[in-house]
Amino acid sequence: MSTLLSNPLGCAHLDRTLRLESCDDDARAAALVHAGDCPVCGPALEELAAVERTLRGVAPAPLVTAERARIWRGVAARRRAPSAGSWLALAGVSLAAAAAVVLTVQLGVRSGGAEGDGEALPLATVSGELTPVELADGPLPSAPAAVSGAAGAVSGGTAGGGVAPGARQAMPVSRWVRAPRAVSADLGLARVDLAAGAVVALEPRAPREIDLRLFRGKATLAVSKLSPSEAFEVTTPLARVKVVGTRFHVESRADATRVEVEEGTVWVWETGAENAKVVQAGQALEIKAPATPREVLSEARALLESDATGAARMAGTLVDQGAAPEVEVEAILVVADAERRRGDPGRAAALYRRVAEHAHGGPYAEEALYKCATLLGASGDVGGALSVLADAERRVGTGAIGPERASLEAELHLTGGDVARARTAFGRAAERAHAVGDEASARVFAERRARLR
Amino acid sequence: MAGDSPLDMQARAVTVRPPGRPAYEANPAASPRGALRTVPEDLTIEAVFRAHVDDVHRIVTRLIGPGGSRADVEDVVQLVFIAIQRALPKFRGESKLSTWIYGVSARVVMTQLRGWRRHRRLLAALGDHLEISDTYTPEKSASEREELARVWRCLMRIKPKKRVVYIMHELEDVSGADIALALDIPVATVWTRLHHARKELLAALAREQGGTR
Repeated sequence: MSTLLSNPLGCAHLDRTLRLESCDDDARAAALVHAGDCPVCGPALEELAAVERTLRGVAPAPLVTAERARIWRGVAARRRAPSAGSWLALAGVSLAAAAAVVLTVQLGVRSGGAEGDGEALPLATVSGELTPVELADGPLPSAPAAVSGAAGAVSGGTAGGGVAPGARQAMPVSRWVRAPRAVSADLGLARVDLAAGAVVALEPRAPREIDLRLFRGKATLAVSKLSPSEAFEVTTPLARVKVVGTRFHVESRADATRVEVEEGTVWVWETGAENAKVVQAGQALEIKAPATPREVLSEARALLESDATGAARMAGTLVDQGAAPEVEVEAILVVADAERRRGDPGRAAALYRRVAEHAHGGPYAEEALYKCATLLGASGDVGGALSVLADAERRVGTGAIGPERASLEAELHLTGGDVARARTAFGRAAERAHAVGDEASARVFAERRARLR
Repeated sequence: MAGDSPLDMQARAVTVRPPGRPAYEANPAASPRGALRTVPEDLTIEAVFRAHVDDVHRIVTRLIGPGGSRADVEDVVQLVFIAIQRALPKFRGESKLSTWIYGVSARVVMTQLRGWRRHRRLLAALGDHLEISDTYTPEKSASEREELARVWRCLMRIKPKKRVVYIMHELEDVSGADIALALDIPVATVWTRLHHARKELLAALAREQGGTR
């Protein structure tokens, strides 16, 4: 039947016959009548119908549960990750303390082409143009990692302590190499172009798996489509990048890792993060080195006025991640301030009390308790507010109470209708103001006391 | 409001919320497979995934062809749902949800065929000995498999844009108007591509039979 198309006679109506759907009813009828007699068009329609029957005769094997679950996990991971654009903004305040840990300068690779021998295939051997580098010599920018041993074994550590789930720990690295100039290497599964000065290492991992560790510098990678048994990853101190077939660039600096995707899709795990961020063709992702807790706290304070929710989230992250006690106390105070601004006095008051518990006296306890008392007073709970003030005096000492805060007690007594105690409290506030050299406030408090006679 | 505090977020973050049952499952009138013209409020990615993952898997498998491995198909299905997730907020119900999903699937597959150079690899694989796996045709005889392989070989030689239209129309029974909506092309272009797909398919079958491929 198929020889009909090579039939030198052909048929001028074949085009129309193959366009039946777009014809009106009359034209369709005419075409079908023609096809019934035509030695070209009739067999053509029959052959197409046979093809359709053959293709319809088999349905693709349905998804199995495990495949369905894997697909959903990938989709859900993407759902939880912010968009590429917002990552750039978020990266600046990222607190993945473990990101620094990483230091995964645990770089290692095996050539994709060498299967089963289990021996390291140093990149220098592949290209013949790379020079060995000893990380311990200190030619690299400082990083929160401890380097030990001539072989370049690197163990990570951060100011924050512990390693977040998924963060990589120390791994021996057989050899670090630095590219003296731009060089290229074919690793079997991928072609790697290293910019001059790039520092990388290769270690065996598993058959058909490449883990290129890029400590500093830029690398452009073209990875062919990988089978399920193959893997290609690039690890920098701040991120792990996994691909299945693509062309992309990775730049590792002391302060950030930048991934730009030219073609295909890559998955990027910020060090210590459980969920990957998907970067697609035309997108770039920059992961910055984590800010110190103090920097985050300072930024959260600055945000309080304009974005209380954002400030609470940033400071809350510090608390959740177990910052140092003094930082934690300040962070809870910021969260409490934010909750107050967001209109939740009950939660704010509870957090202020928590600060007082954690601060063990001192200025933060005083500040927190007086803010708490102010909130309770404003909500009409005079008894509760006075109780908190008494607690504050007990914790920080009567003599340490400032004049404004001493006057709060007077205002609360006034609100409660206890004029005698209000007079006493105003008198005490005037004394405190005088003691700290604030004569103006002292006069105001004295005048108010006098008016209560 | 207390529940919104970031101090509570850690606990919430590790709580896996099971995908909710979409309201349109209980209300057939709002079914995304029906004549959907309004967007259900709970048109979440979970609901779309539950309702359409098998359809997407079948479409992707057919568009890639039997030369693609199950892992290939799985990757692409995942990419389709990632694309759906990204685009779902923009879906306004101008077409049926299933039609819209067809369009997303077709675009993702075509991108992958181009971007991953998969097409060339598949063609190479199909060139001499396309094997239809047992998982694809568990109950078919050897001759039936050979016939299927022959048809697929010819189908894979059609340019992807035309092949997509052919498969959607001939195998998935999508109307020309819906294909036009899904691929964002005029209906006339759908018929033109279908026409050329048929011609190229017939030509490929003729070459195959003549041994001149």
